[in-house]
Amino acid sequence: MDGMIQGGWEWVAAAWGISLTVFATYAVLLHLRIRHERRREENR
Amino acid sequence: MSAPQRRIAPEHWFGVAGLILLAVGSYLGLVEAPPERYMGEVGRILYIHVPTAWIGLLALTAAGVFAGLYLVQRRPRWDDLLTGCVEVGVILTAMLLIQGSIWARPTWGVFWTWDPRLTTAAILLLSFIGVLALRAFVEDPQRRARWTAVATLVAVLDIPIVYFSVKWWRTLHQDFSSPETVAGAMHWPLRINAFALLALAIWLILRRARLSRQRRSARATAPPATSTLVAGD
Amino acid sequence: MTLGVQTRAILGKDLRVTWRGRARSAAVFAFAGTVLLLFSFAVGPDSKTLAQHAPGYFWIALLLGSVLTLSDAFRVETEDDALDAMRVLPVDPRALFLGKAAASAITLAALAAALTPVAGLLYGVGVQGSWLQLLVFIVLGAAGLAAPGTLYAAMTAKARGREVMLPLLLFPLVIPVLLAAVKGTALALAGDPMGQVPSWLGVLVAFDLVYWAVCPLLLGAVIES
Repeated sequence: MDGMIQGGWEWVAAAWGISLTVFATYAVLLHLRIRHERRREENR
Repeated sequence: MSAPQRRIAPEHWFGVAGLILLAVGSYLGLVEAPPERYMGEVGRILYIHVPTAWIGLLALTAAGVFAGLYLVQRRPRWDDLLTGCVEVGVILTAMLLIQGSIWARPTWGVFWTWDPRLTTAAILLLSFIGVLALRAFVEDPQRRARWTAVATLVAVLDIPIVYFSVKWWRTLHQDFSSPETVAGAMHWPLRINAFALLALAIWLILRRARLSRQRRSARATAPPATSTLVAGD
Repeated sequence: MTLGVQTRAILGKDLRVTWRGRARSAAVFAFAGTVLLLFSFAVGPDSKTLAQHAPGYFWIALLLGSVLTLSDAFRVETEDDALDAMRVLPVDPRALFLGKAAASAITLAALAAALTPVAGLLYGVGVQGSWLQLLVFIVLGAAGLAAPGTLYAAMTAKARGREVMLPLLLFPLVIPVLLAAVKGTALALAGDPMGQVPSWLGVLVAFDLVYWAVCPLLLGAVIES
């Protein structure tokens, strides 16, 4: 294992964390927009 | 008003499947798989990076297909799905660039390299942000759908040309991103995460399409006086 | 009327309109020349660096100028609702596209040709390779900007926020054209001992073929009312 980069879990965590956060944010925003639209539909 | 029993929307099953697969794939990639021979632990970024690239490209290609279908058949359904594909494709491409920068820092010591794939992704991101911006500028729903389809088709056709031109312009990358070039223990997390992201992408695309459909029906039933208030898609 | 006849009629009309508005074309030329001048201020008075990157600056100036030329070509149609009149006539949208795009390509190539000596004098570069090669890259590059540019201009001529929309859509798309044209121009200026010209020519030809084949079919969907 010569020349192997040591450590680096922080980069892995950052890559995973940011990706999942972006995905989750989009999913939540979509959910809120859909619910908002549905509410408006029901109130009419 | 008694709230009717609301059934679980069918697209959520894709979300459930995607989350389960992502949990399994991430466990295999982060815990079970050995550190990469040269990259060490940092090599694990590939287990999310490579599937993101695959599914992002797939989403944008699917957008091109829906654009073609819309222009031929003019069914609003294709426009709904097209919008979902472009939005999800843009999000995946943005994620891809962030992961690429995080990968590049410990590997090459910089956050950005003019590697053909990364550069192509950046150009694609800008192209499709342009498509979404165009969409936001047009009020008339039919014109918006036609223009989005045309702009999407034009941008999708550019993908291979951009890739090859950037590749010739500058070639510097390690060939990591197909399962054949990585060791046996790396296959499974890569594949499972690819299917996980595929399911999640389908889930979000269908959610986005549902939103467009709701807004269209709101436009159709709204009285003319208030119809301008529900413009947008 | 056949496609060819209609295309020639629209091409002739657009070139006449451009000629009559030549004060405007002169202004675009002056603008592109100003951009060339600005690059020398941005880089500083290092004549070696300027000469080395001259092809890049030249094409960026042309790209910025092309946005003005391309949007003009469709603005004249929308201003008096001439486009609606043309829709009433049995004009094939493909002919409309081919005529307008060809007129824009010719205008852009002329702009590039006029800009070449300015760039050569300003940056102190001369043609040591091949003039013919330079001409080929200018013509193919102008054609590559004109095809998607005409299609996008047809949309953005009427849209809100058109000033930002046309470059926002066009610039990322034409990056392959920019890369190939800059490299090809550099090789035409300095000579091509490594034989790299064919691959860049290939990129430009591929881009031109794809967009000149597809965009005419798409214009109908853009201008439909």
